[in-house]
Amino acid sequence: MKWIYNILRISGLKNQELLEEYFDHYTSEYEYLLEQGDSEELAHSKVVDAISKLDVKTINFEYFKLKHKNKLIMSSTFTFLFAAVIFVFGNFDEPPSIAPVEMSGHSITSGYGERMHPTEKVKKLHRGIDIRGKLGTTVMATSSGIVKDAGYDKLNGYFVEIQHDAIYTTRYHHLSKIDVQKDDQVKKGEKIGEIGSSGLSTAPHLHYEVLEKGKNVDPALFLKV
Amino acid sequence: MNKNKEFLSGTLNTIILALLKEHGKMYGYEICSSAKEKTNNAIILTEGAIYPALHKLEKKGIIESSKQLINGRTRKYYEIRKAHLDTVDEKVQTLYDFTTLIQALLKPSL
Ligand SMILES: [Zn+2]
Repeated sequence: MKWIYNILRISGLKNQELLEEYFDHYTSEYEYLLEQGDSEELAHSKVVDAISKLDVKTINFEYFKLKHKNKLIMSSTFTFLFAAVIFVFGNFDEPPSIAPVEMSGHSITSGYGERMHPTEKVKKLHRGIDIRGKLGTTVMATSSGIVKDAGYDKLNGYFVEIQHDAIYTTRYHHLSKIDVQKDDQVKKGEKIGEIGSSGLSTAPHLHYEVLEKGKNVDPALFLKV
Repeated sequence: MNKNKEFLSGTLNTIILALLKEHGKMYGYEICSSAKEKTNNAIILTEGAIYPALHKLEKKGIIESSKQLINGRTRKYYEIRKAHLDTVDEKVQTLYDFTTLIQALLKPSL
């Protein structure tokens, strides 16, 4: 039941011990549901739903207070509040922070925003940026995470989608080759595939998207070349 | 179910301790499901509240934990420390008496 572990991990639970305990909890629940006659799919969706309702931020905060209780009593309230603020706002673990390909020699041929679609000839929102590159150029994960989806569809060709934390997801389209599978853990900078022209594409390029809480944002904001 | 939430927050520790007292060693999921069973699903101790509460009780030294490998995963069991069994009895009794008093208070208005 690695998927349960993975979902919990990306939910943002900070404490390893708690993570193990919740893993046992939800695996027990999953096993119980199967015993009760639920199909694997139904049990899966019930467990995913239950985990999504878990108030991870509050749990992390409770845990933080617990861990630092002795220190807190001695130090001033002000220091505590300061630490708490850093903790809460430091919750954005790993936003994408590198370019998905070595940028030297590669150029962004199409930016984020509205544009004429090159093959469909209509005005459309371009949800990502296009980076031109040679067929076979290495495409890297722009932050650590878990492969949420990887496969092929007519429009996007061979694609990979990575969930980095509770907030950020990235997508990589039109690949010629995929090196990862759904549920794989990937590290920042790890190779996930190669540039190609699969799907609705006219020349080898990487279409790269960044999503913040499920909404597309301009990936150029996250490129550090 | 949800409407019981506000009453539960102050009594969660005592409920957990009462269940541990009755069953001896328990793991988190077991505590949740036994509360559900006992109250016919009317009282749901959410997993979001129960694990932090268990960890707090452990840190206070009232309960202790041990780990066991089950089906390839780690399971953490909790039990009341012997030295605290009497205080737990007292706590449970106090809550029990309190609920009886509340019942007496509320009855005429029902
Ligand atoms: Zn594109």
